[in-house]
Amino acid sequence: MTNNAIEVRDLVRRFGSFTAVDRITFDIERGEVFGFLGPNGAGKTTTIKVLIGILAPTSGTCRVLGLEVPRDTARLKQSVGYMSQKFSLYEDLTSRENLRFFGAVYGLKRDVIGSAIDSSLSRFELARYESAQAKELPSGARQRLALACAMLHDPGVLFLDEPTSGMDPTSRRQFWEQIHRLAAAGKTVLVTTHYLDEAEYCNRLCLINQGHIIAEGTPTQVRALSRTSALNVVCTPLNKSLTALLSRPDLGETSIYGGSLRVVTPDPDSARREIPALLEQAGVRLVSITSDQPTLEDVFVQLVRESNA
Amino acid sequence: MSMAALSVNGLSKAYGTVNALRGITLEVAPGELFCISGPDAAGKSTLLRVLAGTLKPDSGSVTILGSDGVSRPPILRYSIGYMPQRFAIYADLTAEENLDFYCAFYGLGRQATRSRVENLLRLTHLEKFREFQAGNLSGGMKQKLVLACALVHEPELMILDEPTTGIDPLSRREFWGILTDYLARGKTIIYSTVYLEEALRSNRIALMDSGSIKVCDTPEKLLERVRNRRFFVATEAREQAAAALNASPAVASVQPLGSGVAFLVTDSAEALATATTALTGAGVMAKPEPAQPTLEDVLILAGTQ
Repeated sequence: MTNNAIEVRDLVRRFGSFTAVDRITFDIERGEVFGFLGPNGAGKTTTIKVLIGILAPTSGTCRVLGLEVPRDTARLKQSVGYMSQKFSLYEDLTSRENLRFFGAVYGLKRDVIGSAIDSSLSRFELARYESAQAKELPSGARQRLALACAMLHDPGVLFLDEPTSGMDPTSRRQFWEQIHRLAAAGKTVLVTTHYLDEAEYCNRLCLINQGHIIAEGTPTQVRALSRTSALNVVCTPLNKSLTALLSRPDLGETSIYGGSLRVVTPDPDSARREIPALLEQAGVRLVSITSDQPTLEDVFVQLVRESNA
Repeated sequence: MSMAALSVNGLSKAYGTVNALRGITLEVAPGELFCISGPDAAGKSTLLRVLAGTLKPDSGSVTILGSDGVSRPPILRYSIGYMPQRFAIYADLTAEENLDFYCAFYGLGRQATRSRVENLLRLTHLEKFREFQAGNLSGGMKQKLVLACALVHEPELMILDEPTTGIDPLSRREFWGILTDYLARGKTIIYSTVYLEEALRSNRIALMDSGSIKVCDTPEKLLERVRNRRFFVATEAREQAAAALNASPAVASVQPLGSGVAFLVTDSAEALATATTALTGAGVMAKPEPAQPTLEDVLILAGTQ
């Protein structure tokens, strides 16, 4: 038997003449935290909707926990949990009432629902908010409640679509600890995020753009795909230097980084060669140019731009 | 010494019994890119709203571009751009009509309107979408349009409240490209973010918590505080490694990641050796490697010390 929780083969989904997902193939192992990354409109949400059985594929095959989509949709819904950034909680209902509502939606029997809610409240550290209305919850607790609702029926696979959007650093960190605990308990998690520092929490990443997979692998492997470099340019005054570097976008993309400038460039050798003269012309004092590691976001932006070109 | 673009002294604001701001004092230099970060309810938005003039403080003073920021002479309206978390663009108007509307609001003449609208459409890469109703634009495009609307009158000071929340990395790059261009022209920006990677794009960061500024420094100096404290051990046995590290007195914080566990050691000299022994004891033989510190580490260590 395969150890894959999710198998996607040549999945295509069209909307009229628009192809949102264009023959993508990937596997996710049981217990894996799989980061599904891509710009808006890349096809991430469409893929998720196919995998949870609310959109039929145009062609291709998908299996989730051995169930075939869309044939086994009814059973599939019992085995998957889905939480989106816009997950709607009932604002006027308390935490416990929200959980009871979602328990009913998932068809939990009356005799098990009470204990399922109790263990959920403690597992997601929501006990102290049990009687608070959803609208009164701090954002971290709110997001945990949304996750608890999506998991009340104890699904084997979780789909999380931008679950941490807008969360503060502490809440995000706790949220990811929770995800790792779920994965350690054998749950499979597919998660999307626009914040690439979060990709480090994933076992494996898949980068999708315009319906195609453009990179796949562990965070380290994806980082290694990059031909992009970063330079740290220490110079003064900063504003003048910025103007000079912005006039030469071919040398790279320049941003502020503390008291220095950061230039992300595909060609660090020519950038290093040309920047000193450029800054001298602008009457700027150059102190140093040193290499800096590209971030995963630098790599992501480069890969997406190459694929758009 | 040149005059500060923004100077705030002893600023306080309470909502009922909740002290949202407790005596904030800070100064932002002309041309500075200044970041405010920190957890929810730290007071970031309240501070920005006071600076933008949409909220009156209980006490304290604000000077913006040489004018009194509390009594707010009308001239300030023209020299400040403010982008709140929920900014009004007109969903039924096209992208271009929205920009025209804001130009009219600021009393710009026809020629200035044309050139600024064209320039902003170009900078935001929205030229092809000028005829689109704003309501039909993607999240990232909408946010760029909002920024463009806040920039039509070429304000000296921009106030941005969590401007990139929810937008994708590519749009975010473009968004920052627009701001970088604006900065190069000597303008000043103060922005808030809950994303610590984004906080690092600034000249200086003020980390707020419970209505106060806890630390305020350059990204380099803040990261310096946690230098040689972050390590990463590559292991499949993440749970065992995390448990062993959590139990070790030499470890200040543990962060399980996709391919191993990152952790922060305390500042004692033997901390790494102690943590390594704890890992070996749990059967994790891989050697912890030094890792690049993050701003999140700064926040965590500031909270535990």
